[in-house]
Amino acid sequence: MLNPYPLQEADNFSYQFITDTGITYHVYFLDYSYMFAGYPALGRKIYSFNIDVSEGDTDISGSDERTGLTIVEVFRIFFSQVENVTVYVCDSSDERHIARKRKFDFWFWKYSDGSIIKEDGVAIVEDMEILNSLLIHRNNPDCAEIIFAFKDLNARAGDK
Amino acid sequence: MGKTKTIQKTLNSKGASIFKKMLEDKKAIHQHLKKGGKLDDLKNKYRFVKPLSTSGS
Repeated sequence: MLNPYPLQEADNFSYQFITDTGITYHVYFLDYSYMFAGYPALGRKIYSFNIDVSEGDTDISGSDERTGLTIVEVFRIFFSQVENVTVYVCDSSDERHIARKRKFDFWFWKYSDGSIIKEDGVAIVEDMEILNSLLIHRNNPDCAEIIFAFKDLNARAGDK
Repeated sequence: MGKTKTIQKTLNSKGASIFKKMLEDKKAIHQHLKKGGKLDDLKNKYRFVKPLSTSGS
């Protein structure tokens, strides 16, 4: 049976793990609650989820199921506080955002235990496609309200 | 697993600025890490959230 990679807390800001093929991943969250002042339902504990590679080449390492398991482990820890909400945006600058989203969706589909709800969105900003997802714990007391607000956020096209 | 839905809209609103800011921050931090920098170097520039302890404390 596969296990997640050991998570290290190398600093006060991120988790880090190193795969068997030598890839060093950083996983960190940024607080964007301040940007949701106009969305009280969303504005309490909104964090972006980010995963980044500082060493190694994921193109030559092949797929690694333990990486997905490790990401899910991070979410398990993060959502141990059920009020936490996170938004994931895919970097589209290198035109590989669809592949990133596909991988993220696969991890979520394969390893999620059903406690987390994922709501997907696509924002077109200045002719750039930003794929985004909201992740929220099923037991968040404001779950329905937050999902509604997230939809509203996406739906407010034309607002200045 | 929770259900997944897709919303597709063209945004030039506050929503757009939020997603754009998230993406810009992600790119800037990526470049910093690629150059060998540490997240600690950026602690005053971005609002990092201290992860919950993996030991559960």
